[in-house]
Amino acid sequence: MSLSTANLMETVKKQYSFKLKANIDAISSLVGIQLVAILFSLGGIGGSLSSSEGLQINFNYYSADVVLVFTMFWALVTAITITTKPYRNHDFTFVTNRLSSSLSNILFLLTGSLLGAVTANLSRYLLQLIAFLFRDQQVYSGPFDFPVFILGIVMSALYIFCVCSIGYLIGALVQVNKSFVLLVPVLIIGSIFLGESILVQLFQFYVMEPNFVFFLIKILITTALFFLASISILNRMEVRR
Amino acid sequence: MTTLLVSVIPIVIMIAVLILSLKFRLKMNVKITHWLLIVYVGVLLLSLCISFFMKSEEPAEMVEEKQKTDLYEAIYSGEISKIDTPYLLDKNSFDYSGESLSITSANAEVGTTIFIERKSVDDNMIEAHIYGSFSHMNGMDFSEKIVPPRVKISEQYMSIIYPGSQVIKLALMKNVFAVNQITGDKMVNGVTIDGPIVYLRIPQSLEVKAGSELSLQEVGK
Amino acid sequence: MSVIECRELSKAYLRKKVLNQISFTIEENKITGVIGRNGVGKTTLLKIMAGFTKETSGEIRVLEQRPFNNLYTSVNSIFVDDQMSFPPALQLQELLEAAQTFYPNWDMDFAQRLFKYFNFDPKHYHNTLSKGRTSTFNAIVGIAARCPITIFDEPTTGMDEAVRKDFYRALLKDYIDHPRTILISSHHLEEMEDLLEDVLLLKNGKVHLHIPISDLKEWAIGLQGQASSVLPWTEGKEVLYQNQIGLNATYVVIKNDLSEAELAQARLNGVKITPVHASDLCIYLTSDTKGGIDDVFINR
Repeated sequence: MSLSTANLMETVKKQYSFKLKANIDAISSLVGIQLVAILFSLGGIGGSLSSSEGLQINFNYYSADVVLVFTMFWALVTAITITTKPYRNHDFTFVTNRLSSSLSNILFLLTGSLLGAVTANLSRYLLQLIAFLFRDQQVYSGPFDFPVFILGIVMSALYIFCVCSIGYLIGALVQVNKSFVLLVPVLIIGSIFLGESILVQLFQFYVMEPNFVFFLIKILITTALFFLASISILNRMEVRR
Repeated sequence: MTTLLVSVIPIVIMIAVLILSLKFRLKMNVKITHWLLIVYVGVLLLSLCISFFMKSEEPAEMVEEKQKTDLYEAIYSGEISKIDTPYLLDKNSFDYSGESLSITSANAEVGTTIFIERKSVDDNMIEAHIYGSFSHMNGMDFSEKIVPPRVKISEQYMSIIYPGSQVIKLALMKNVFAVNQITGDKMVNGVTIDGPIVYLRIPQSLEVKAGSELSLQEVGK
Repeated sequence: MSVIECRELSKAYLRKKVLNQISFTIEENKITGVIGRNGVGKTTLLKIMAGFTKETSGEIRVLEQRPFNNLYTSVNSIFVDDQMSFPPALQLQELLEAAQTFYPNWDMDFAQRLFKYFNFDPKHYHNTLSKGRTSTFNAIVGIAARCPITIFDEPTTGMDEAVRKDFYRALLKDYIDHPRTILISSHHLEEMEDLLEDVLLLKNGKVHLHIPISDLKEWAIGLQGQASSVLPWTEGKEVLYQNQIGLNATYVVIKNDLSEAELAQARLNGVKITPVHASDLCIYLTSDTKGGIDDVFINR
């Protein structure tokens, strides 16, 4: 029988299109979680301001913030899920090595991040429509600004994809040693209670960065580091033991 | 024209998605998930399209200049009446030939200031300007929602009837935090409200008195 | 040409040694049965070959490369067992299509015909199949992939007898048309006897025997008769199996190295000489006791 040669990029491409079909349930859960988030967003956030001449303004702010945060949560869960045994075993039923498996996973997560970013940013218009139709409230949204719309999608996708890399690393660590299942939440909760300044610093480093280029550099390097760490961890893992 | 063009794009995308999904259905079994996704994205794009048509009731974009000029600065300098400002909400003029004028008010908050500019001539003419603003940082001006005080003159009395503490309810759509981080938009900081301010231009030698609830402020000296 | 080479290959899980310095070579296009008791390391050995798990020490070469994390080994081999994992979101038909994209030698027409023969519904899902049906589907994937190295680990788990026979026959027929290196581990040696060329017998983490099946069939003989006439023949020989029949009669299995003359002499002494089935022999060889389960019941 003739022997075949395997090309890494070809294999990754095949695995990627395979995963788009195989992990389709992840996409339906994205839709589900965003619908729930839209429901939560319908109340909006209230605010009020008054002038010295007795004029008072009561605002109700609507935004897709909750949808974006929920989507990031979805990204975390999805990234962890695809590092688990059943998902890795799907790869090893067919042609793979550990690198191609991770690369195709990352491509899948990138696709999910882009999809999540686009839908999250579009959901504001659905919010606006629902508020108008069912709450009889005209929500002013200002003129449609195409560059800002694209900026919204890019920024959201960067956040979601970065969360994916965190989830993927957590998943990889858990695969190495199950004790990380306990250790990771303990670390996170511990850092909230003890090292409050660390969280504040992280928040300032990423979320408060007003320069797009700096933000891009920061978040891409972070994401790349997390994925590289995960790849090198998973590269030594045995499967189907 | 551009708005129309932009509103067409999502429709085109939707039709493309529909055609593609129909074409691929022949080849593969479209599952519930595919439909769920297609319907969801379709609804989102549809609401984007509808949002373009819902704009009809939205206020006009703010004049660029308005953001730059400071209302109070212009009032204190006495220059505001000379420029064509979008802060102007209402304007009345009255013929008045008396030598003194008493200003009374209704529904005024204690300490409400009335600004008075003395003209360089005695032309027996009183002009009452009402200024105010209510705008949002994302380029919208809701000033027309402000009910301006009504000004009337009978004999030597001028009565200013304020609409009372007026509450305007407003729903605003904000960008996601990921965008605001770059654009610098903040939660409430983006909103400015001023006024309504009553600004009177009176003949040079007219004597003006007012009740204790009002304070008179002469400007432009 | 040898496609699989092991030199002093060992594998330990934590401290427990499963494979202990085994060495063997498997030639191209041979069908080899990997035989051994449960827990002897058959699955471990096959998984190392497929690149799923890593050897602890020693060397393994599959197609002249180390299989662990190797794309070349992966594309040229397939590992089939009842644990084969498929995404639950895909229908059986889609799984076949997925396999087609991955395996360059995949024969879709052949796969479809097997699929139809075994009455699979293209719209069913893999995780709803029964145990036997799962094994059957996995076997279809394994045969139709036509990988140069095809590994079946207990492929017939849960299959009923008719399906098992069909499977072996399909495998043999496809092998004749498209020769490849096949390794099968199974408990049902007697069903596979016609299929196998070589037997690799594992015992206690070691290769106990690695010989052609034709040799295995003549490797041992059984001697039956009065204990007094049988036992002298076993002197100085390794007794593989011994069983008492009735009061005085006994049955022993020894390695077949008696000469024709000795055999004739034995027959004259009233010893009945019988060939030993390969499958029985494998049981005797891999057993730790001489009398099998009967040992439990004597001298109580």
